[in-house]
Amino acid sequence: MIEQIQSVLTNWDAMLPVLPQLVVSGIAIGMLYALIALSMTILYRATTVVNFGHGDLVMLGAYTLFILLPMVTFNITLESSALSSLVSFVPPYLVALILSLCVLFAMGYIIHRVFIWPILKGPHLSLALMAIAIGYAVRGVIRKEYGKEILQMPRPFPEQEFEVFNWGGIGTYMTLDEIIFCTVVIVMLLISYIVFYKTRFGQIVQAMFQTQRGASLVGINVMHHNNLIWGVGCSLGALGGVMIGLTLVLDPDVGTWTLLRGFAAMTLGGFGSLYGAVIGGLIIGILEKVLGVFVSTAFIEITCYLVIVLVLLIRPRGLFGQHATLRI
Amino acid sequence: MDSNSRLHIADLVAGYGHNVVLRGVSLQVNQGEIVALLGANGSGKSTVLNTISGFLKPTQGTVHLDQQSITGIPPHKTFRAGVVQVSQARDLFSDLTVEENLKLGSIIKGDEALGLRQVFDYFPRLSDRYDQQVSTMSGGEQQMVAVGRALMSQPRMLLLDEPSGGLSPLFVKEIGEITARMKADGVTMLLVEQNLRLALEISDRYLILRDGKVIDGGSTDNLEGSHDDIVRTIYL
Repeated sequence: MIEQIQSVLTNWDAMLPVLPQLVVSGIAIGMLYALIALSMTILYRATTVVNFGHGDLVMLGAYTLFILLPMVTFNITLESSALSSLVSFVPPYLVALILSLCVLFAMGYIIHRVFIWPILKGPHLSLALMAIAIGYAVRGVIRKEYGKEILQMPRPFPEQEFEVFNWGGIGTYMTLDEIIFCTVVIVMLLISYIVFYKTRFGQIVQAMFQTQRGASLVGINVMHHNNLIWGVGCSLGALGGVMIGLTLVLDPDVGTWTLLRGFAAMTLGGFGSLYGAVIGGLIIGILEKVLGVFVSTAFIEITCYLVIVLVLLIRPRGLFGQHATLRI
Repeated sequence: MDSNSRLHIADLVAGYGHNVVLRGVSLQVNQGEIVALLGANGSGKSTVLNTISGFLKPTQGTVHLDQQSITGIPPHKTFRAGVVQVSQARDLFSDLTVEENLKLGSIIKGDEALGLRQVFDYFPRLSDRYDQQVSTMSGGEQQMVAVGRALMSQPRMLLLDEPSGGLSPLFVKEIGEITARMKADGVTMLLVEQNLRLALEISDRYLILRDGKVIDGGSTDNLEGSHDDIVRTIYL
């Protein structure tokens, strides 16, 4: 490892030109992590439960789209040209996507109402185990249906690449997927910001995050709002799952991969902080790419673990986690 | 149940799991009245308030507000019916400011502007601390925020659980004066209080709870000098 770091330092001039590409690719994948972390943070803000089964619900979002897509693309023939493909395929894809998000919203709503709410006042360990059990159950159902088969998600748009900027003759590129994903995530972040910081619903969530009993004392129907927030969180996670399905592959075990990155982003950003989750996701995405190329490819897999360990040791409340100030 | 009754409780039985705490509590609070619920620790005073508020479901008995049954309905519905509790732990949104806490008090029901005017009239100090984070305030000031937040929805029935708990004598006196003003303005209250002097000073009637039952009660008029009898009834 030390030799690799020394090699980076000595070959810095040769590696520097690829840095912008790594940062851009890191931001693109980091946006996905940010979306997953954001969806987990939303659940956490409602119920202070870290949903350790969230990765599997994210995976379920992708599979739901995969299952629904053939049902809504009936009688549409894909043309060979990219443009006609886009025109003919995107509307059914959007319909299937919206249906998938609705299905996952319902799943989140029901999971909270049936499995989480009855034990919400119990120990956190019970909640963590319940979340893990739900995740494994979901994974088991998908495995039963699809085995460990790795599937390819149908593409709604062609694979294309665009030069986003050029530095000293070396271009930095983004794929169409990355551009669309980044746009979608930014739109989702803006919507989340408005909903959680500028609306009455956001004030209610803020109140419930502080104290659920206090929220009940001002007339808030805590259970109903918790159900809704779990629905929203699972929907957002499903959107992330669809993007992961398009970026990588469809695999029943992708949930663990997803959960770890979402959890690391949440830990780095600070539990409960919406913008912390986003910044955490971006930092992890960039770190993975940069360390993966400059130091060792092993860092692509271990960066999230390292981040979790280091943050918990050095700054347990993360970058933007709330710190209680008490007057004695 | 007479027509002047604001809150009427009959034969209330409630508890936590298999542990029955209330064993047939009956009481009535009339409109504009303050009734003090007294009793030793564990006698069931807070349980009465939590059952009225809907945090606990009674296994038996009824709770009526203005002749309408609110028995066993969840807390958010009890709030909408007009019953608001200030709990012993205050349950404030401690990372939020005084302004945010007060406004959340009327987020579901109540006139925000009217509520703020009333609260600042009772607690002028809160208008100076409008932007202050609640967790940085003293216990007495937090109690003011808690009572203020409850008043924001213009409740028909206010349940106060140990409003003087953990406060300095100066704040206890202030809370007593403000409660008396609220009573003069027609706010109906059921008060749980360990501070016997304060409770008897501000309330119209008292009830003594022991082992989940009301065992004694009466008017607080002309009680000066006879507190010892009440203390004996509560503890012995």
